[in-house]
Amino acid sequence: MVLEEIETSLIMWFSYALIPCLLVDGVAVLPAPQNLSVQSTNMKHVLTWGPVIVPGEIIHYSVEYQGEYESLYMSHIWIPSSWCSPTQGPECDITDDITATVPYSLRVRATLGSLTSAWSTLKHPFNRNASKALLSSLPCPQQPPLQEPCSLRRSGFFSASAILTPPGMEITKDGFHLVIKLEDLGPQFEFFVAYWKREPGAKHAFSAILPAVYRRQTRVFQISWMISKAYEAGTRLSREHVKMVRHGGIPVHLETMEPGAAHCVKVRTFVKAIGRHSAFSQTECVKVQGETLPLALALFSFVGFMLILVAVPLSVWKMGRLLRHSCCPVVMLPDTLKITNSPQKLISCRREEVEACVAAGLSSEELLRAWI
Amino acid sequence: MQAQCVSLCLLGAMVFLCSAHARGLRRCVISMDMRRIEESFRGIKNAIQAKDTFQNVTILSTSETLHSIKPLDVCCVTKNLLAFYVDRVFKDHQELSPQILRKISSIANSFLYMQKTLQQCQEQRLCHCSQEATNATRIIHDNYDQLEVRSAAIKSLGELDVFLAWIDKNHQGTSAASRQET
Repeated sequence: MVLEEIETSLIMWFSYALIPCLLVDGVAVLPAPQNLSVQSTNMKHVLTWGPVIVPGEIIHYSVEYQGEYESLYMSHIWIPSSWCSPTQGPECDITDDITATVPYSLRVRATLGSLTSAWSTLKHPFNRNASKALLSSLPCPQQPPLQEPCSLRRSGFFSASAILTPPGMEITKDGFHLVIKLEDLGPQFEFFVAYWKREPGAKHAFSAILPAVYRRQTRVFQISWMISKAYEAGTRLSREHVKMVRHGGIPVHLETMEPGAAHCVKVRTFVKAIGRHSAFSQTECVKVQGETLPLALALFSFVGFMLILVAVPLSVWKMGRLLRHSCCPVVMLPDTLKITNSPQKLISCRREEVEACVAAGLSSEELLRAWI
Repeated sequence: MQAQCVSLCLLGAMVFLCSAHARGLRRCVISMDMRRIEESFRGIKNAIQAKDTFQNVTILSTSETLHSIKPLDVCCVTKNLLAFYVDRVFKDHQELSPQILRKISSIANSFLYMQKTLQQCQEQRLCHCSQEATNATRIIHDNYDQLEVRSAAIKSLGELDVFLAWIDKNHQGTSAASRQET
């Protein structure tokens, strides 16, 4: 009897002890996602985590974030992510959530039907302007409530650094015009385009000098190499132009090129929101054809123009004559019908001059009679 | 002797005026793109202003306060108003809708970043607070205290467009110049 009671109580005790192992706050345990990290490239931020695998089941994930403001003033508020509440894959584009240049805390949990896992929080908050160089240069005020994030900054604890890559560019020649089309990276990006004309003379002169000097002594070679590089940089800098382009994806005219010389371009991005710029892209140089072809072209076009200038009036005059002959042909009168005197003279005879006219007419008649 | 004294005084006065003018020129500006914050607010403006039940009252009192701020006081007033919104308005407002909560969070965190930028100016002593600036801040706080907390918070949120436009207008100029890089 006593043994039976002990056995029953043991069984009850054992089952009560097991319950906490199986249930947590009334829900069955699903493992929380692990290894949270953020990759940020060109202001596109992606949170990734290790997937939770349950054979034969599709796991959904919920992502929540908390800006520095919420963590300081209302730490119980977590905001569901715009695109990932819920999501299926073990990653989330949080670009639309990270909208200020402050540290953001992020957390993820897995759900399977009615089962949910515990929240797994990003180990160190993510700031979209994070970089190793920046961490050491920021000042740290002593007044609250900025102490906490400042201490995080000082210790260098950021889970990722934001990477800005050099932008892609497409250089085209429109005749003599140098036109550039930049990669469209969105409204947050501005482009600084540096372009210059590469002088052929200076570089060649120094490249000729260098081998001759090298034969003498290594030290002299090094010094003259340094001088040549400095001169090259100096001449390039004095002629380097910079243009700021606000939007990518649209062709932009840089300058009109001179024939025979190479024109070089390089570009980098600047993001005003985080006050950082990318590295410069690879320098690309283009060249327009030399002077021989345009000269021949100019000569040919000049000759052609002169020919046209002469031929057109000539042909117009000829055509005019042809038309006149075809429309209003000149009739050839026989000799007998030809009036020797000018018809104007006969018409203009007046009364006062009748005698003179008659005399003039008589005189011709007399002449005729005389001849007969 | 007297002539020398007078000329020295005049010189001193000129130097003082020039330094004051130069200090005014070395203004503290937030070189930030306000358009993103204004866009965030535009998305929720109608919903927020619809909840404002006291239409005849204003908290920012634009004509009394913001429009009369001199350039030298811009830094101080901006700093004070940012603190007003961050320490009081956003905290007193309880938002349930996730869409509106996201936008308010975006604005609040941007304000926090702007505060940090201005703090650097304060360390360089470019953010001196005059009596007018302090008075303007006090008027705004008094207006806020006269209303019930929730109503005051909603009303102040609804007036964010006025504040953002004022910041945009007063913090231009040198920000454009500072962006140029070679």
